[in-house]
Amino acid sequence: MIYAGILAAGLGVRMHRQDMPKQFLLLGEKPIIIHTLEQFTVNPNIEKILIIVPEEWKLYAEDMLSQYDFMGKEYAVISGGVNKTESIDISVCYIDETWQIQDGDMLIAHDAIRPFITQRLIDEHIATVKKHGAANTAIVTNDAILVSKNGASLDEVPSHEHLYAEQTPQSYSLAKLKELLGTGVPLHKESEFPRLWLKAGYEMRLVQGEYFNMKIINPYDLEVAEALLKERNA
Amino acid sequence: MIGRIYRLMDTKRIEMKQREIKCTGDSVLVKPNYMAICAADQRYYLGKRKKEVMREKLPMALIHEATGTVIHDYSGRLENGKKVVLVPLEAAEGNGKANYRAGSKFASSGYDGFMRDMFALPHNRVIPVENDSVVYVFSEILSVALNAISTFEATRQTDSDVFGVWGDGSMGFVMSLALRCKYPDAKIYVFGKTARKSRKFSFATKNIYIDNVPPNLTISHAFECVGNAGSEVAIRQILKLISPQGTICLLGVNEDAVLINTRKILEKGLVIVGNNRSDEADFHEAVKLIRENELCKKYLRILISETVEVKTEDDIYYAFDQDVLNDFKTVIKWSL
Repeated sequence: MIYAGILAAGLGVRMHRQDMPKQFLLLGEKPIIIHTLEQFTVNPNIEKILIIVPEEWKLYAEDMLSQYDFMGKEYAVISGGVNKTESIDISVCYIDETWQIQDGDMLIAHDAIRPFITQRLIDEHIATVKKHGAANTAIVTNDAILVSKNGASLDEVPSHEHLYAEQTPQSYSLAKLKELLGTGVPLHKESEFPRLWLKAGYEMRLVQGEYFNMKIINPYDLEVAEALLKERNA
Repeated sequence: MIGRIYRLMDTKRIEMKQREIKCTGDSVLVKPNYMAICAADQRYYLGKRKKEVMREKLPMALIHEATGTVIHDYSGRLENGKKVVLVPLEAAEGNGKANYRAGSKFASSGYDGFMRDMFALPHNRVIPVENDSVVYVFSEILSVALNAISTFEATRQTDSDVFGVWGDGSMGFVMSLALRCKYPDAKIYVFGKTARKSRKFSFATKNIYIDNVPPNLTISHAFECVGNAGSEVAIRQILKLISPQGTICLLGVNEDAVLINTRKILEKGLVIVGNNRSDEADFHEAVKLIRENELCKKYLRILISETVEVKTEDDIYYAFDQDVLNDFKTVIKWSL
């Protein structure tokens, strides 16, 4: 079974001009999260969809999602955790309790606020997890990355050739995820799940991302995303 | 739903654009599987159309010959995963054949073609097929040939089935093949100039080189599939070889006007018929012919010069550049 986990538990504090989480804001004529969900809904390999939202926005999300066509696919709205790592843990528990995790099952976890995800990315993630157990999305950075411990002075300039920017999806074998989470790793202290994964000794392969697979986290991003969609319609 | 469209912005410059796909209750959401590059696409890609035409029609996604897979049929009639042939003609209301109506729109000719990751078409513009056989990508070009045959049948003045097909390219191949399928006992002479290309027309009665026509050879009806600068020469030769009261079907596209000896037309009482594109009924007939005629399917397969898998935007350029070098069709396996 291939599950999509749409990570929408952020409260969007950076999108200061709005009074609701950024994933529910409109991009064109639809909420951002709907654009994202549609890509998973139409992918024939995705069988079930979990939508992980903030506890206080769960009812709103259920109301909104009830108006959209999931093309017959089963979906569930659940409350997320304090960070992405906890949200993944909650998703794994929900899947196991509701549907029971089987060998070969996988979770494709994707930020709700990256609506420009492509079918190619989803398909490559599925193929990579089948072969290697986990996949992350990476893109070469155009800018050099600087390290500063105090935010005022430069400490390090890592070599550009080994640096990539991380995007989503991040995808995992659910059996391995369950195994890792069963060891009691400290989830609330770690916001980046791939770091936990690597620390535990698992392999994680990279899938080539897309520059346009952008994250809409501030008003500028939303303007860029709206501009991308303003091309004359076909 | 956000989809991606690959538009020709200028000569040899294709850019990906994001755009919202609008679906209605009659929509079928599809993703393309196979595409075939047409000479018309190539004329835009290489900038061989007139400057004002390029200015007017671009940016525009190319490709009007394609098959696809149903992602979702909002009317519930086609199951997900069903393979379909995509119909490029958006028919306007009116009388006569839809491909000649003023308001009709045609994909990759002023309107976006099929070079996209997925898109919605109305139900009447997808034709279900039983499998993903690559030859269904030639349904469009075959439907053009079948449109020409039905027009010919409506206008012919004599019963004799001695056909001459001018042109040894892809259109000439498909026109000759369609004639062979519809008239199994007919004499079909293919007039070409390149031995390498003519050899592929094994189903023809005889391949004839335009500079070495046997004396006393006559034909009853002609199909001109040359186009461009060669069409004038071809029409001149047709007028010489065609029997009185024959029909000349023109299919070759020419950017410029050509000289035609009208005295010959008058003397022989000829009918000249223009043919452009095809309508929904021609598409259904083409799909039926491929499905039911094993020979048609087998010969169409050898029309492929090269298959290019497109996984990146760079692969699109590669496919179009290779197509210039290929004698016959370049097929794109679309994996974007």
